[in-house]
Amino acid sequence: MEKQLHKINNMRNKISYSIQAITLIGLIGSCNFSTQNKLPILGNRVAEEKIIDGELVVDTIYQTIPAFSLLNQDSVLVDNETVKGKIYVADFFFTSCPTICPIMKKEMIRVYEKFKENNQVVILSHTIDPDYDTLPLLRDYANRLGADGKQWMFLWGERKQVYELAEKGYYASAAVDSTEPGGFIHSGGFILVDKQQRVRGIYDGTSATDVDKLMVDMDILLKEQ
Amino acid sequence: MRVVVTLIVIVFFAACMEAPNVNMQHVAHGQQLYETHCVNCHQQDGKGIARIVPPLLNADYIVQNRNLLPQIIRNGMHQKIVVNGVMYQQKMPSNNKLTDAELTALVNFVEFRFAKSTQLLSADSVTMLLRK
Repeated sequence: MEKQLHKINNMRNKISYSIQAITLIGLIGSCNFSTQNKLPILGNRVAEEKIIDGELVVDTIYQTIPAFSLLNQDSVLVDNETVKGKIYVADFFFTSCPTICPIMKKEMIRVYEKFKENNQVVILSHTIDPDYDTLPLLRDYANRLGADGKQWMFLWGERKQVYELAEKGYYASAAVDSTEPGGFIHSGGFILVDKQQRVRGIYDGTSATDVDKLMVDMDILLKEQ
Repeated sequence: MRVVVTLIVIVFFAACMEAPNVNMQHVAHGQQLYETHCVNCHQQDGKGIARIVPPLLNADYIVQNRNLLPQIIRNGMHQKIVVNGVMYQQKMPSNNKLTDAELTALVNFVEFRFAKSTQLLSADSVTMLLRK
């Protein structure tokens, strides 16, 4: 009788172990799956045919951020070379904006705080009001937000250049509109760009849940080779 | 007899509760206005944003400048101010479409929520402060 009981107990233990093991494998499996998530590549693409070693190879060319050359808050030139090999987040704002910018900046502070130890990450905030937002004003603004001005930079350029860059490079909109509070209309997107300067995601910079998603996607992008 | 006394007591208490209840409705209206006009910058918790937007929560400026609040909300703020020892220079936009009654509700909400004040202003006194 006692022997039988012992046997049953043993069996129970074995079953319980196997259930635990299966659950564990399942969990590990799902973890692996989530880290293998690939972010989409946004924008136009063209197939380019090349002949390499006598063989026809079709290569996909993705749209990248067009050439830009702007000044940061410390009057340092910032261009495509500055962010080469790094991932970055871009946004468009103006310091006197009474509507969505303050909340965008509060959300960007969270992104900055999370990645500020990581030299593979850059944040570029572009002013769309270059007349009012002078370089000294941008420097003060950066300082007040607690940004170091190296990893999180505040960029200044001629209005035409910045607006074209917003629309053609980052799928964002920026325009002068006297009927809007503050005098400008612009989108509140945070645009995630990869190491090859391709846009990989656009997030609503006024939504905490969207910005949470951005930070998860940045981790995914950082692991990408 | 006992029932009558109880009823009288209940009615008495209800009458006492009446005044604060009316004020709370007023504050609730102020909260709606706050969420429409102020929350983007000053935030839900009233803590503001970094050193860009000053806090309202426990702000010495509010306690020291009570009578200026209706004017500031209506006309905005264009000069530098110091709040709890920190200088702010971001311009505050005007809200010149708000009526005297709406400004009263808003000021009372801000005072009640962020300055823990229970001395609420009447619409008449706000109108007077605005005419100054």
